Amino acid sequence: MSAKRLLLTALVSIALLLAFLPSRVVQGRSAQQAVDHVHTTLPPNTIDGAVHPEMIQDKDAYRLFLQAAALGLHPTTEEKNRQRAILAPAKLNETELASASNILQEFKTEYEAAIQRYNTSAETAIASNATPDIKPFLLERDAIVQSAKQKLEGTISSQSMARFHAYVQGEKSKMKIAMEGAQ
Amino acid sequence: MKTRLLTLAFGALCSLLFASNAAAQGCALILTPHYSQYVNRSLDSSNNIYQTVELDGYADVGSSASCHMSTAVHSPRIYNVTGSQGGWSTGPGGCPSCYVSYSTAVNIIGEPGVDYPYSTDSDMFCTVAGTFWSTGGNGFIHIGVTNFILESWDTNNCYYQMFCPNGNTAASCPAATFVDTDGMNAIPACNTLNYAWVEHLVVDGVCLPVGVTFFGNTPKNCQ
Repeated sequence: MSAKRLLLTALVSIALLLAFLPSRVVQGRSAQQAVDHVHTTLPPNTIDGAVHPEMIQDKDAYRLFLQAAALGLHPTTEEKNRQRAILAPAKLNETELASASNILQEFKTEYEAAIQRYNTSAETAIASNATPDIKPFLLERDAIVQSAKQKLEGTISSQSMARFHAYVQGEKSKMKIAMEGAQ
Repeated sequence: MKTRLLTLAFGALCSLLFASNAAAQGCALILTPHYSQYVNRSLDSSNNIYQTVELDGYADVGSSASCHMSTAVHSPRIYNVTGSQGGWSTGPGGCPSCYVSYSTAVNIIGEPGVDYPYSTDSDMFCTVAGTFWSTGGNGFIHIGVTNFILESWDTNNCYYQMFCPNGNTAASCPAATFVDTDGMNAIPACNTLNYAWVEHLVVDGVCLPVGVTFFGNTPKNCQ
């Protein structure tokens, strides 16, 4: 075997070894010097909506979309304009837009409060060397999303809701969703 | 030469294996990320291009006793740039198992037909492990314009055909026809305006499906 071929074999072996090292296992502080601006390919345990939108569940798509479209309690004019632009494809009339904006704000308030409650309990658990249980929070999170969706369905017209739903379906292509329960 | 090459290759391989083994004897973290990213892009009638990047999720954390995870802090970081606007933002830090929902928005006023670079990154940073989750992308975005000329109308609607003064091949998002549904009930009625044009966001050459519609009596060049 030539020296070049031996070298090539060794380098391929190193590349394969690097490729199969589990990326989510971080040993000690060795990863602390991470590159500051990384454009990676898809992280593990992730559904790429650009490739498999059909694999993204509605509850996940609605959660991300509602959170992106929702405003805080005191939005600026620019934030209101952004919300209008985000919701424009649903072609809501002014009354529907106002109602949807209120529902989104309620959703955001409830969602963030639930996160805060869970995070407080997680910090308490970690401080006492216990493992936080996230499952009850995930159920609550999904229920908050479902509740907001039902409020929208009960408030805006069926045609507007159909457009809203179609738009959220289309937005799945811009989502990368973690597979929960995957290890 | 042959010996030197072999030594170099084996040296690289052995140092890699040794480093992994040595670290395993100290603090070992197993972070199983469950994070999601969503990038929304939208356009308004003033040609504002909005880009919202959202990071949402949590991590399952397993660690050896020597890791002292109670001292670790996890923070979301988002890189959100369109044109010359935006940059890095860091969200509030929390415990390793804490749930994160963080987003940033940036907007620019776009000139139809002009390509603007965009970049989006979402990272999770751990004070013990460094950046342990990251995803993103970059490309170009522009406002596409498709102009239409009024052909006919009925009681409710106006019907248009594509007409680009600069040639129909100039349109990024060509469409043979356009219907202004209920346009006859608008003020002014659609049959008093000879042209309609639709602006779409075009991301990496792909037209977003819903555009912003304008009407007037002067045609627009397609972009």
